[in-house]
Amino acid sequence: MAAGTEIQDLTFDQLQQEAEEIRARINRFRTSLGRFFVNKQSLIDLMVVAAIAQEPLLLVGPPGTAKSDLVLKFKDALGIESDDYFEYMLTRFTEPSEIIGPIDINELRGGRYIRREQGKLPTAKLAFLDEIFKSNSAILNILLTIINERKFYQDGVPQPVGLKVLFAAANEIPEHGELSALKDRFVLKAESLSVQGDYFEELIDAGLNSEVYKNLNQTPWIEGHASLADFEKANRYLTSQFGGAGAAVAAGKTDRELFFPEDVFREFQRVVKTLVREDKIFISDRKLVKLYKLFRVRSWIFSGGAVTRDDLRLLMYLGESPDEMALLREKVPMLLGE
Amino acid sequence: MILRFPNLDAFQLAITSGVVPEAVWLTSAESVLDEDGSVWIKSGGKLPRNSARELKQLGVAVVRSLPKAEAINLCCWLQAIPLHACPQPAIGDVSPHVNEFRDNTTVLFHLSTEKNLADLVSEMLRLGNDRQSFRYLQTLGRQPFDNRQNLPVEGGSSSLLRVIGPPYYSLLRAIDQTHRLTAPCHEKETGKASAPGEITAYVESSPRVWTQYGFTHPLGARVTPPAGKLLLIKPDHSWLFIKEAPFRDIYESAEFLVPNVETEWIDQALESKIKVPLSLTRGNLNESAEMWVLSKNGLAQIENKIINACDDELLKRLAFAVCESEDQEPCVILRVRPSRKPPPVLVLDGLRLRSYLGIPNLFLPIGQRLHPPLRRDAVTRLLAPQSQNIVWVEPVEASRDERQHSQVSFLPQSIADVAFRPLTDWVEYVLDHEEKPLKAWMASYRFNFDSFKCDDDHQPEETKPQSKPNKRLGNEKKADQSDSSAATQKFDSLEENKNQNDFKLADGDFEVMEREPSQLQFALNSIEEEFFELDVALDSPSRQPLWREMATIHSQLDHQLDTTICWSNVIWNSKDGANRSKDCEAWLACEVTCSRLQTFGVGDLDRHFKNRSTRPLDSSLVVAFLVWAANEDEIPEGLTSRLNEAAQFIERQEQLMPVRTSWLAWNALFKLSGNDTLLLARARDRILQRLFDHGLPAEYDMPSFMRARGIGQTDRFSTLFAHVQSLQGLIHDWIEEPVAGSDPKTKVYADLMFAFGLAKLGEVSRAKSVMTQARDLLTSTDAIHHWLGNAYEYRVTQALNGQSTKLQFSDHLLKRLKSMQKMDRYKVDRLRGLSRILEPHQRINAFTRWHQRHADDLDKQLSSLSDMTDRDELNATVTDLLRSTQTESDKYGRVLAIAMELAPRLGEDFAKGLFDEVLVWLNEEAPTMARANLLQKSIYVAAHFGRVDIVQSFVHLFENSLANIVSEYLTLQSNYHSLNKEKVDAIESLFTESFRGLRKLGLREEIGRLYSGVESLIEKHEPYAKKQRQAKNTKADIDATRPLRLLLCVASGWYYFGQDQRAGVIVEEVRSLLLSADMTPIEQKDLACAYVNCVSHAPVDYAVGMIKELFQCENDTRTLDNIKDNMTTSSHFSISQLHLIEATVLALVSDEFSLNDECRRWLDEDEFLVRHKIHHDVRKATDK
Repeated sequence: MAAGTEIQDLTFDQLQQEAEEIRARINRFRTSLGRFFVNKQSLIDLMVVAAIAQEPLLLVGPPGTAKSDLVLKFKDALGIESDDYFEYMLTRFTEPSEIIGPIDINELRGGRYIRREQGKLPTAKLAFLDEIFKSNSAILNILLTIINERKFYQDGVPQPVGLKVLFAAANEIPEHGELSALKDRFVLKAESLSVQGDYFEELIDAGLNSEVYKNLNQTPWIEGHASLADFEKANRYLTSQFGGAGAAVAAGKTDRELFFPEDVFREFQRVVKTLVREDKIFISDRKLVKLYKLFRVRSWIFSGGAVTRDDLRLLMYLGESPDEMALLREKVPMLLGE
Repeated sequence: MILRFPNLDAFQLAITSGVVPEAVWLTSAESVLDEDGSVWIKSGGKLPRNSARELKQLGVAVVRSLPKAEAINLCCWLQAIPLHACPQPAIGDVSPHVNEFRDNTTVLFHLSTEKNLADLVSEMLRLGNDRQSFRYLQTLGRQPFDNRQNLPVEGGSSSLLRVIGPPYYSLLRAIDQTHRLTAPCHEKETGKASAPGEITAYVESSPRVWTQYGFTHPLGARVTPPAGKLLLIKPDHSWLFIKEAPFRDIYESAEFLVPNVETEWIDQALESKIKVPLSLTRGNLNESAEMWVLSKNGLAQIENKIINACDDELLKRLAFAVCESEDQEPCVILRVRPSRKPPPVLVLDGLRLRSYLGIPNLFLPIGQRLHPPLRRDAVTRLLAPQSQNIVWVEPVEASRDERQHSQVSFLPQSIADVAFRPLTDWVEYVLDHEEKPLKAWMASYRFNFDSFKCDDDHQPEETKPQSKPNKRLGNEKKADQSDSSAATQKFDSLEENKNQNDFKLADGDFEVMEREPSQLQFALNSIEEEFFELDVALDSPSRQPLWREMATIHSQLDHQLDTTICWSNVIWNSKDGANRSKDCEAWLACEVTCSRLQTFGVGDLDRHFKNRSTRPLDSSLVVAFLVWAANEDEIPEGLTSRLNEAAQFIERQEQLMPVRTSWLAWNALFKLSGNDTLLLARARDRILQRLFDHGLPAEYDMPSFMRARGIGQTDRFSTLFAHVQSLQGLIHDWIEEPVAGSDPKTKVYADLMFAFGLAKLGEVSRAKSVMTQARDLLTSTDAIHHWLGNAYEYRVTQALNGQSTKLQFSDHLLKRLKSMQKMDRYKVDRLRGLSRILEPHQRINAFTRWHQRHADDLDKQLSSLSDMTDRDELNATVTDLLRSTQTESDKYGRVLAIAMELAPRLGEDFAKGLFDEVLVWLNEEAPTMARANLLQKSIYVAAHFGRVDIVQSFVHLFENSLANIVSEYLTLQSNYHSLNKEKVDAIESLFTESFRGLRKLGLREEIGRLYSGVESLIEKHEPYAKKQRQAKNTKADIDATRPLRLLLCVASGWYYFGQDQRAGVIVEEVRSLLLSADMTPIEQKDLACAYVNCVSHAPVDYAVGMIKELFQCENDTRTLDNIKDNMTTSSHFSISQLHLIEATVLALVSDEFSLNDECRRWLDEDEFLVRHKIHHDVRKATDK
């Protein structure tokens, strides 16, 4: 691949050649990062899946359960520059200018409502929004547009944002109706639970190490296994596959027919119907489609091939409330027979 | 025949309307469903003639041939009708649906391969459903009625799996498959139309007819498969018939593999025990010390810090023991004696200890506890296993480790409990200077009064032999011993010519220290205080020494009755042996001393036996002699020949001595007579009858210091007399005689009632005077007044003579009663029925004789029993009646009730047999009233005979029936008239009599439970009524007063328990209703009577005020204005007013009235102990 070639210019064949290598790097990345946390490998894997699929991920959990730490180390391990990273803790009083940049006074004098977005969310590739549900309606509107349409408006003109990966965190998921649209944007909502019950000693050891690294300014988790570019390439590669490139074209079949075995697909269908009927879990059509994507990404990362029953475990992360999350955490594995 | 139906509806209509007969449409046929919706049927069946016309009307045509399309083979015409799909909820649709799958829906899965079965079964088991049963099927060739003629039948085997409430997840295997296979795209993809699936789910739409899940047959109800066959219907017109056979449980075919071989563990004994060292660790510092170990300067500390500094009240609370420590220095252990008071605070230099975990003989240092903390029984076993030793632990000097862990080792130490003696024993107060006698001022004696005693119920004292006169100033005759000067006297040997077997006070045998009466009294007061504060049972051994001390001091103070009571208690509780002999001797010595005698022998007995007017003192002396004699190794000579006279003497004097004393006497006579069991049994019967009639009277059986606590005075009767007098005047003013034209004597009868009350109080002269006056007023030719006057006189005389007032009238009176005219007899019986003075036990029903011609034979027989006087005849009659009515439950119950009422008359043996019968009858279904009636009588009688076990069984039955009884009571009250009144009264007396009976047996807990139960049941039943009553300034609905009378019974119980406040709430409520509510005369009277009975249990001053208030009259306005009547009896007396007056009089003279709850409880507990011992002694005697 020629230097300076943009990822969006890469062809499917080019990507296909690198695919295995990228996959190996991403796997090394996620397993390596997992060493710096106690019992958070599943969350890291989920973050990797979400990052590749470029779907926002919500981490829910009580304070002090490594939500922010996961994102920070994830960002560091990917080698993301500070210009490409934006993080913010939202409150009721957060103003749009804090997220998308202040109004450019000079431009305003010229009658243009332009924001100076450098170093803010619109320019970041990886963003972390803490306490996302505490934001006010102005922020919500902006976020919905950014997450959904990947753009924001400058002087009435939509402008694409560079955001690839969005992680959000919250201590709890509120029940307010007005936040349901935002909640629905997050297909996957994972709980970051306390580990002191089962991993007391490991927690103390790992926590102490973390404190040492922080105090001594060390970042051993930056091992350079993978980069954001790898994630972007992986996304492009898989998106092409979804569109019928490669083997699908040759076989004259759809992506589903090639990579989603019939029995697994039936399982997917059955689990969804069961969850809807028995537990009244709401799964929108949009979510179903995105779930398909996420299954494929996961299966590509873990096995490089077709979706398996194991990949269907992502259905555990569909819960909209703590009760639903707890329920799905128990029920999905039971249905899948693991 | 080939028919063409225009559409499916016409086809269905033809079948359902019967146009096509059942016989025809049940036959096999061929069918074609045309694209235009028409249905072609080719059938071999023949249609009746009229059918053709009707079919034509439906648009059905008869054609010659089927169209050229694929025909379906039908087993019957119904097969041609396609199944309708049931609307299934869409994904995300959470609303309920008609055909919603439910948890208990049975689904039949038809699985084409074994693998499917295994997958499905294991999946459902994993999801928690094991309600599965299965069948394997083998297809035997072509199935003629499958969906398409040209398709081969599925060969080979398949399976049926029947599941109750399968998981939806598993059911989806079949549902989704169906959707897939029937989807249009499927045919497009596979080129096949609806191929048979691997899993098909069916639901039973009608018996033995299973329709594929999600579909229904419009005429499914008419589908009936052949006998012994199941029918599976699919939407593609295929009908599958399967032979019926039992399903096998899935567990039969499943093999559950245990991952590993079972490992069997063998129980092994521990090689060695786990050693856990005990130590002391920090504990609560705020505890009070109860024991001190003074190892340094113990004696000096005791002397300086306690004896010299503290008062002797404190000294009395302490006990000490002295032991020698290793360094020869005396170590003093000081301990607080058990008491209700908290331990005193003493500042002593020594080890302070307190009892640990409530173990009475184990003490730990203050601020420390055992580590690790063990259970009480383990600590006792380890440290204080022997209760006769007092154990304490001393901390040992701590090692460094121990100090770091704040745990200290300890050294257990012990000393025998008997080593402790009262600290007062160690103290001898000495005077530094000798006493200097001074001449007393003459006038000082004027103020040196002894306590006043009212002797009007005692015989005048005879002259008694004088002892050596004491020196006095002046010639004042010695009034009693309390004026004697201080001196130490010893009694000399007796005269020589006395019988050697006589009791003699010998030198040094019995030393009497005569001290100043004030000192003696002071000593007595402190012992009485100590006695009262002892928080132990009345028969506890710790009271014994105190009884002894009190007895000795009382005899020195010449308190005759108290001497007898105290010594009786000493002897009562002492065990046989040397101590008992000593006590008997000491008692006799005291009685001899009190009698101013030097000696008392067998010869002296004759004098007492012949004297018909013996003083109580002399009776006690005789009893003490008999008890002493019975305990001697040899019976005094001459006594044996006098035993009969002795028995007669005791029998005569029984009523005038304490119950204990009389029983001790009989016991002594029993021993002296060579164990004459009959003598003892008869004495028991008499004493029990006495207890039954009077209970344990406070005057004879309670020491004076306890009585004083009851009313604040030593003689309560004087106070009561004052109350009775004042009330008599009030009531006289209150009595309202009815209109002119008659000459009622209500006031006279009221006076007779008061005479009875005065007699009960011992006011002989006053009672006689009132009675004579009243009787004279009643003496007339009127038979009613005459008889009633005599009857009241009879009762008053019995009370004056101290006889039982509960016995029947004399034969003469009864004969006169029988010979009375009917109406006169009726009026007399009306008063007898209400009067507890005239008829304390029997419930006389005045209407019995009027209703006799309507009563059944049994009623007549039962009513005649009360007139029988001969005991044997009565016994035989009752026994016959019981035998004859045994098979009829209702009659048997009535006979049992009457028999129980008569049981006290017929004796304990009769009652014993009756108890078992009653228990059996009560355990069967019985009407509530009959049950209540019998329970009341049974508890009463069982209590009388002291049968605690039987009473508890009855109480248990009572508790079980409580809800029904209360409910019945409230229902009866709502229909308040004379017939129900009797039943209401019966229920109320159930509670009051049971209360009395249970009190006598000490069953306080049972009383509390019953009354709490009644209160809460009434509250539950009558919340509205309570609200009504509590609403102020409103006229209470009469229904609101319904439960009040029963609540008043409950309030009596609360007074008994000392819960005055709780009782007061009810009483106040009733009071305000009574004085303000608009009630009928009878209701007001009954409520007032119940009110008076209740407040008699309250503290005296309060009760008197409440009772007097009822009878207030001001300016011709009576407080209780509505109590009057115009009944038949009003020609002679106002029965309503008399009822209330009698209730008032009886309340005033009852024990409950004047004694406080402490004294009442004392008497109850004492009576229980007395009864217990009496029964025990008799049983022991009969067992010999």
